[in-house]
Amino acid sequence: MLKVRRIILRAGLGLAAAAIAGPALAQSEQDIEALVAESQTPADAIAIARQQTATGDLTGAAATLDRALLEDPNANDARLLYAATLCRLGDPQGARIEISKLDRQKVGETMFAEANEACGGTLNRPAPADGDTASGVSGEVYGGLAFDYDAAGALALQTDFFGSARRKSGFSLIGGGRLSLRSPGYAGSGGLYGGFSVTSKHDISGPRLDYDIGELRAGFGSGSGNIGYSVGPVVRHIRLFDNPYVTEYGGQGELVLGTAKSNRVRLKLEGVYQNYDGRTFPGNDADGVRFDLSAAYEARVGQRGYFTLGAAGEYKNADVRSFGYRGGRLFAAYQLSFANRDYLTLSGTVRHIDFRNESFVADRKDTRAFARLAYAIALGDSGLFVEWAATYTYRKANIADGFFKLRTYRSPGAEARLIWKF
Amino acid sequence: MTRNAFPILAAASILAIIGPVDAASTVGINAAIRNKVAMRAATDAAAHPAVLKARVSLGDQVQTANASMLQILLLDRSNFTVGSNARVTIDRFVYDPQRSASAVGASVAKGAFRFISGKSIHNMPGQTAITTPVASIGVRGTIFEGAVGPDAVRIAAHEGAATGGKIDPETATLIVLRGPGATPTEPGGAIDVTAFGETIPLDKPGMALFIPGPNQKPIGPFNLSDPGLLALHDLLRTTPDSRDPKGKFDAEGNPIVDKTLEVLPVIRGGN
Repeated sequence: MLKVRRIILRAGLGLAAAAIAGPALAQSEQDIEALVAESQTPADAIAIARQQTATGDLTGAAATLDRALLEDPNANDARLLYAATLCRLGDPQGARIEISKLDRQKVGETMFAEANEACGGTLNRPAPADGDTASGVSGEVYGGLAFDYDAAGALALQTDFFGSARRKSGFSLIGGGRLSLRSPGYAGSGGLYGGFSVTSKHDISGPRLDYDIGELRAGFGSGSGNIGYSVGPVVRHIRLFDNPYVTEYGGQGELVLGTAKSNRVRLKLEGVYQNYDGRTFPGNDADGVRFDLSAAYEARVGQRGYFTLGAAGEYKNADVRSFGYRGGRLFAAYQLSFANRDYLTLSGTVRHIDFRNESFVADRKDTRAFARLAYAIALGDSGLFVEWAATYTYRKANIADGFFKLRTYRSPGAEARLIWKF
Repeated sequence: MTRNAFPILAAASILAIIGPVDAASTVGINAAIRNKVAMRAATDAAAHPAVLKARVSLGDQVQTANASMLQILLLDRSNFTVGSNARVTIDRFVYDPQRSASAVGASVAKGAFRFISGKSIHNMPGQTAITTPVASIGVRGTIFEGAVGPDAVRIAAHEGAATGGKIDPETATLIVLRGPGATPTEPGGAIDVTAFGETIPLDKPGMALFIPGPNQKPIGPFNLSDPGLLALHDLLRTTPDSRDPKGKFDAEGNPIVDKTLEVLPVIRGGN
């Protein structure tokens, strides 16, 4: 009987507690609503997470920061504190991965130091954003081997007398690189930039296919906020078959509209004077002014995809009128980066040029296209990549019939490159 | 009052104490939403777009699209993150705020998920479980994540774990313990994964298990590699936008198509 009374007593206590449980659940509901409301901005989330950490609620802190990063992936301070919290929770691997996402992002020194301390000093500093360091250096160097199915026609507009322009394949060595330098202020209120790039191709078998292109540019610009810009001089020199071919000098300006979020529009104008070396005799002088105006839309696709879609207009005025032209082109590219740092790139350009008409010279219109599909395998975290690519180059002139006709050029190709990105 | 009535009364009172949550009762709120997330109530056939801070009720089904995520903050402060291309239902929730005791049950039909348990789950041990079509994950107070379906197969294949058994790309499940790690004063988090009658504990952060399909033995445990974890992160977490990706590429560059480089009409028949 005593046992029965105990049960009745417990049941009574239970019913009494039930009367309290309802309001308590309601209170819990209000509490979590308040927690979400109080951590809506990254700064608020950081403050709440610090409070949770101080009370020993590390999992709560991780959840709060996780929430902040879902809402704003660019909350870099929240990501750094998240990495610190993961380390405090015994997950240094997760912390390392969060830190690796901050490559080329603006990273606060104090916050990084806190994360690194929480992780026992094991974190690698993320690669700096361009212009963020004193040197502000970035770039790449590559070298490799290329195959062209129609190397014979690559550089030459071949006149095809009764099928005389023969196709011939060939292998070439390719190499090049680019180097960009930005002063510390570039990412803020403005600063200086400089850049140097080289592209080189030299045949090792098959037809002659030698060229070297060097470009030097410098100027003033800014890359912060919703509007970025740059303006400055540019010099370009091209050697063909180991001889000077053309030197271009002029200026270029760029305007980038868009936030540091997913999308932006890039407008670019270049105006240069072209001085063709060794082509000054009458009737062959292509010296003149060339203008190029392009607009491109760039956007992220998903977590790791990135595409560019653009159009450009071209104008060239030459001393010999028929070497001048008006033209335009469409270009697009897509890059997908994989979790292991491999990447896939697909890019293409279609260009149409209408050369200026002149008496006794055929009215020439060219359509040119280039497509490249590449897959790069990352060699660890070294910045080294082995890139394999398939290419296709196409050129067709409207002068397809008659005595003087230009052969249509179609050349599938392949490349293998070793690239170091830094 | 008969003798039989006492146990019934006692059970009723216990249920009242622990605040059983029935269908349509609130179990939490939508704490963060990314991209396209839909919710379908247990009592409503139609799916509706998820709304930030809206209440989540027992039996609500969450469906996410590609690159979409939802974090549900439960009343007991447990967090359930539903990753990309997922379908998840919170189908059991018991919470007693007075005792700070709770238990959660959820089923993941497909997609990626992460669970961070609230502290009150410790006070109702053995009662919290997340189920997938091929596994049941008993929670002992912890952080873990996983994926059901093709993403699980893809990541496991990269780890070299998807080698044995008959792989079912619809139900294959990958589960990874994330923490917390043990400290001198606190035991580490742990989960018990049961599949095909076998229960395997995971008790160290980074340990993973792959279940290839129904009636298949779990493969593992193994340590998930950095690329494997990064692939899982992509489904559950965000990555900063980048103005200047490291793999920067020139969409236009080809000298043969470009502006200046060509030899004017000459007869070149080869060499």
